[in-house]
Amino acid sequence: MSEGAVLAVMLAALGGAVFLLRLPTGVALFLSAMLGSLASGNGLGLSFLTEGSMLYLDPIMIVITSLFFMAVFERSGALGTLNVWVVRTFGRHSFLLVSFLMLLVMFPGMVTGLTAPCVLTTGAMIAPLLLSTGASPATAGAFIATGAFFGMVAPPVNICAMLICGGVDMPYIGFDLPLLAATIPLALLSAYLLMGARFRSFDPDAALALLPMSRYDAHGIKLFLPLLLLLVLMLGEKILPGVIPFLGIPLIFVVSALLGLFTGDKVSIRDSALWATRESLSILALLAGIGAFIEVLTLSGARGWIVINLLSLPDWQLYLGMAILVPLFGGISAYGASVVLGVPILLSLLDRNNILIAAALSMLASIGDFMPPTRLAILLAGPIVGEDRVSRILKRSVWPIVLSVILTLAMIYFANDLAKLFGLA
Amino acid sequence: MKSLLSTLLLLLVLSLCLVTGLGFRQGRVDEPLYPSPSFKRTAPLSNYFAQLKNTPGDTEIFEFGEQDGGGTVLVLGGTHCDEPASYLAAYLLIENLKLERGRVLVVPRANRSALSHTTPGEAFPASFEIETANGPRRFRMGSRYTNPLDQWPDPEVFVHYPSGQELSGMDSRNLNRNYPGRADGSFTQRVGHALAELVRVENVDLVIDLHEASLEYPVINAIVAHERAMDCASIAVLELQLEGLDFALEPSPANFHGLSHRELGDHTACMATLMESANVIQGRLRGRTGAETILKGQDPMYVRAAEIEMTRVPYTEDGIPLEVRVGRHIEGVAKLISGFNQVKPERAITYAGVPGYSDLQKNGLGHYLSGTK
Ligand SMILES: [Zn+2]
Repeated sequence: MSEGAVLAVMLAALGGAVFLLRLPTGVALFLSAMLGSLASGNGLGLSFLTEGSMLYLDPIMIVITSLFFMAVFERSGALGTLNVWVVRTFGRHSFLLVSFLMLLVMFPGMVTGLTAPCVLTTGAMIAPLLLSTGASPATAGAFIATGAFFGMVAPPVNICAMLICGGVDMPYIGFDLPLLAATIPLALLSAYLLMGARFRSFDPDAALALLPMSRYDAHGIKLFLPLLLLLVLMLGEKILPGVIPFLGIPLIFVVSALLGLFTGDKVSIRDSALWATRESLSILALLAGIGAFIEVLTLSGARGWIVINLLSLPDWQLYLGMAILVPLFGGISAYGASVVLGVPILLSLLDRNNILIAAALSMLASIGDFMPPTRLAILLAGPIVGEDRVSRILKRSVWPIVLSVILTLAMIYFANDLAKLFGLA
Repeated sequence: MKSLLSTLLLLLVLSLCLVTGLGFRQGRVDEPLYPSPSFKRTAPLSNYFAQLKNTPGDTEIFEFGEQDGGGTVLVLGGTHCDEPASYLAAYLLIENLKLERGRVLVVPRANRSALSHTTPGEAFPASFEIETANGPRRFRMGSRYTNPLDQWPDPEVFVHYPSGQELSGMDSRNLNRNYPGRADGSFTQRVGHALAELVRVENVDLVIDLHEASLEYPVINAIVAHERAMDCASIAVLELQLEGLDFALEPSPANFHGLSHRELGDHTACMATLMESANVIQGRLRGRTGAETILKGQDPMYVRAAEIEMTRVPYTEDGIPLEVRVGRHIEGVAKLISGFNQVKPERAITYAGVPGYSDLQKNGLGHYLSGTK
């Protein structure tokens, strides 16, 4: 079967399994991968399916351990206390409050280059506050997912841009300014579009009545020691290299969570672990399934077929193709889109400033965290804000997505002029 | 009923893990090599850095010749183990070389850990076969990166030592981003350190690091040379041109750190060079992937890529077979040594027995890799 036909088989199988058989997306991806392997004449491809399912081992571990951390953080009383503190400090200044909350959600992504830690830590931390304004769960979810997306793109750590650089042997230097300019204004604008009205009519006292009680009087500042430890371990290697060892993000979450067992209200380790497992299980299956799916896309040649067809598009159609295909491929994996599509696109645009192009492509690929089949950012945000139908969160996120696509295309089109502006040319 | 189903599924997954796990374990088994009679001995890399002993980072150095006044050349294959022409060229040298003067050291599996697995997502075949007079001979396909079982987890950002240059976390397992290495560093940094030690202790005059790259990669069909290796490399490129083999001469970038030609050049006394051939299976535009992709180097997607000028080398339906890629490496090694001999005639290195580019095209790779003599 030709490469294009295999791709059609895989997509049809995926759609059928999800919409007709109502299978979980993770399982559907696995079945689709298996069919793709058969259709391309590689048998069941068991070793490929196994290898592929290991592709996202690290994100899998980050999702489950960060949820465990959040469970402990909430149950110890720290989460409620934090929200009360934010309301008391910023409650009367709506602009400050919205900006602060957006930057807070972005922060973990800026240091990890991932959306999951944003949604599952700082996003989860401010979710009760967002909901206490009377915002719908979908809007609160969109706010968190949007912050996570901008955090993933914002400097200093943008893994997608680093992967694109790695593919063309270009050092990851000079990205801070363009990425800041591409993310911060748009993030604040999005925050205002989503939550500005809610916060202008925000009544701090009414919100405090809805939020959990502060446990500060009972435990004092030590409530926040797990959060402090998390920060120190994550940033420590950068600030004090050689003194604080890098444990890996999953272990950092576990160690910080364990500290949380002793810093506030009594927490059941078993309940927290069970909750984290239950909430993450479908996401873990999804990530494993995605890995297997990508592996078979590569094996069957469908991956190359997609890339070459995109690059063969003439002129303005190439822009349109990029705007659609890179985020869509990013829906399978933002990293995958960066490596598989980002690198060849950069190589085909070598007459433009490559820092601006790589920055723009990294942003385009990161939009994939909103896109099906994974739609990781909104999928994770769902349980955090209590929204079962994540498509509602996606609908609410349309403006940030559209604005980001327009901005990235402009960055590509005007790459050389912008590079001069940033002193990169 | 539900728990029965769960148990069954669990058993199914466990057996799948067992079956595939046994397959993946085969990746740890080094294929036997059959050195030529001129071969003196093998030494483990851990002789130069004891910490590597009994780790997957230890790897064999195949030594030819004596300290007889001639120079010493070090050939590195398998720095990136998804670049088969790099280690097959090294195997071919080991099994055919007849040394006359000087010394040749060959490390065919520079990052031995990287040959023990394949990169998830790339769908590489676990191995491929080459026909020889003694039947088919199987070789492993590997990965660009150190096996995560030997170095894990990756940092989010890899900070190169000692320059402080930042790269994506995955490159912390890329040997050719970890030179000059670090004695108390990560697994890959220690391998890099051991290889740099080998160069220093053995007073290696010329290092040739063999690589392949995808067809869209800007540095391809090229010799990259450190400043001190420029004279030697430009002679080599001229001589290769005379034989009809097109090679670009690329100066080693001064501001891109961790690569062998930059760091071994800066941190040891050697002339550091690196060669790239064009390998379809590394490319992001490639279509169907399998052992044939390695052997024949044919790919319809790349034919289309060539039509829209996305490839940096000429490419047609005929592909770029393994014979061509190994042949270019072997011929490149010969001409780099010839260049070295002209720059430093008193330290000349001479050898025979190794087939040239055209011999390989005529007789095939298997002819020179027939195994047991
Ligand atoms: Zn290489």
